Amino acid sequence: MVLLVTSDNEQFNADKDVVERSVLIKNMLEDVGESDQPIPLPNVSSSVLKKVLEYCEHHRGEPLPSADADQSQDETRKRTTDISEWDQKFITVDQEMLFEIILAANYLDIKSLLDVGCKTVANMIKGKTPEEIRKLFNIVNDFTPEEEAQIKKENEWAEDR
Amino acid sequence: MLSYDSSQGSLLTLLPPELLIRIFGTLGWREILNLRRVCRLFDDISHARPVWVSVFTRYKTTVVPRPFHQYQPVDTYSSKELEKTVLKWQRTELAWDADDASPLRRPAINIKSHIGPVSAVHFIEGGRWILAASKRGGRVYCYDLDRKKLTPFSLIPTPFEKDAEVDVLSISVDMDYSAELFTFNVALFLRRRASKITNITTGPHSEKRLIQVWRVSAEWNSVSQKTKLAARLLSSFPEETIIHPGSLSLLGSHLAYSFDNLRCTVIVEWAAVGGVNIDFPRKYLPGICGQSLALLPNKQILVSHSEKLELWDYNMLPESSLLPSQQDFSRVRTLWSSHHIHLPFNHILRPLVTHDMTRIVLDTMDGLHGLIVPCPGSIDEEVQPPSIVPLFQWLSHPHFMTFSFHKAILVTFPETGTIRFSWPDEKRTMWTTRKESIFKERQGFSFSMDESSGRILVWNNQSSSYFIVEWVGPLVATGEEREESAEAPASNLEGIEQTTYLNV
Repeated sequence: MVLLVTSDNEQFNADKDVVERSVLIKNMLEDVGESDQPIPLPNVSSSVLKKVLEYCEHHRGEPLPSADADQSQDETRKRTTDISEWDQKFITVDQEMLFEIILAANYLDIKSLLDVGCKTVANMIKGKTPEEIRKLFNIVNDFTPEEEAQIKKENEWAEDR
Repeated sequence: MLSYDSSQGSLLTLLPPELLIRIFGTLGWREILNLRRVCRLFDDISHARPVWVSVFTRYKTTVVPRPFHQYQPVDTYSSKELEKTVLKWQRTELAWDADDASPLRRPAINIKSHIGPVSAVHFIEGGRWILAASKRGGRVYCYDLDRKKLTPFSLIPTPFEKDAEVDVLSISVDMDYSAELFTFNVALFLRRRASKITNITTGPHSEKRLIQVWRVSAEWNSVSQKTKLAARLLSSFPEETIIHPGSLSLLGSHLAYSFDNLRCTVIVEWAAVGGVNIDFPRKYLPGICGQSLALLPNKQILVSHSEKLELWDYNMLPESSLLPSQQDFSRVRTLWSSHHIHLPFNHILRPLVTHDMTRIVLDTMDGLHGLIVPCPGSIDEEVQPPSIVPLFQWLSHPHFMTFSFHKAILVTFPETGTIRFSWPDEKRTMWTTRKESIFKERQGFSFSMDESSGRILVWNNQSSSYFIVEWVGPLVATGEEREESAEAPASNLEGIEQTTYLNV
């Protein structure tokens, strides 16, 4: 068992093969060796770690993507929509949690979870107009009217007709 | 962690740039252009190199037919170049469906003044390159249509004497999509005419016929930062009789052609033969002289003969270096035959091969039909029989058509125009026709169309005049064309190296 401590000082006990889906924690454990020392995760809150551990628990035992695999070759072939049913249900959370999970997956180096998070955001963007994207993600349009007109003109041909 | 106050702004924009780049890179070109218009940060991210590397690589490896070719390693392209390549392809796609695309006729290419009389011209898939075989010596020259100034360079040398009269009677090109950079194999059927005149260097010589297979590929020079097109000889062997023009088909390691006088079709594993002897192993389809033919994946061959079309499996055919006899015929069975549709004309078969099927457009009395030949997904899987789907109907049969892969055909009689159709599994509009008065030429002219570039090559065999029509309109805005480097004058081309640097 491994003891993890979150940013809000909550302690989590988890199986080694579950937490080792995180390359960061795996490396830390290798560095520390056999030890009962708790592992501090100052960038992850307890509510997010709970979700992340739920993901790792479900996917325990699955082969980890090798670090030296040619990313551009394999990844780019995959379509953005192919998220498994369980992952889809798992990632159906509010935007705040979604982005927290993405950040945690990035920090903890859990590639498959990062993929699921990024694909989910990509799917939210698909088929939306610039205005719809702003609305959905609460983004402020910071272009000057001139810039906006210019950028619209350049990309007009691509508008779905 | 996000320090977060929903009234303050967006969570998405608080993600580190590398994660935004990752998200953008999984999206399609149109979504990235939409994101570009959202805010300044997204405008920046949408220009990031990794985004376009991901998009470029995804389209290049998944879209069939190959949407664009690659002429240098991905990591040497700038973000702008990658974006331009992807968007140019998409502009062409959209222009095929648009009503307002205006064809542009480019100035004539005077091939005769460059290389003298030509015996064959071939428009390479992708619409950038034209191959032209000179009658003087049989050397094959190449034109780069992406340049403003059209000057040929020598690509494939002749196997004969420099001043021999040589006809390239047939050309077949097989694109190699497994190569990273632009690569194709090309088969040439060459005939050197007999000469009675005693030439000081060659002396009198008899007629000679030769088949050659060359591999042409873009090669990147990391020192000069330039790409050159280079040709390498893969196979060369003599063939005893004249093959039917247009019946040459190259696919992978096999080559097929029909003998006119012996009335048979021959399949040769060209990679395994070579040299000066004619008694190399061939597979024969006796009694079948293909007006045109096409090798398909899985050792199948499609032959158009006697107003019908037949699909054969040549895998089980015995190999023999002797001439075929009718006894062999019973061993072969057709996989499929077009007995119920009437094929009136000579067919130009241009198969489109995807991972699970091959599609071929057929011209019949009542319209265009699509032939779909399924490929087995795995060895155990039972192969479905080929099927025919209607693509376009007509009341009276138009003339002088040129086929392309799967979008459109060009019709030159009674009027010049394209007929755009769609396959049942495609979402676009059923079909449209577009007529243009851009060419007045008709009699004696030949046409070749490339869908991926929207270009049409028009030529007259008598006068050797050639020109290009940008059928879906000029896609590169003026000023975008790059500076031309100094090019050798045409008269200096004879006898120079086999390869020429391109400024791509």
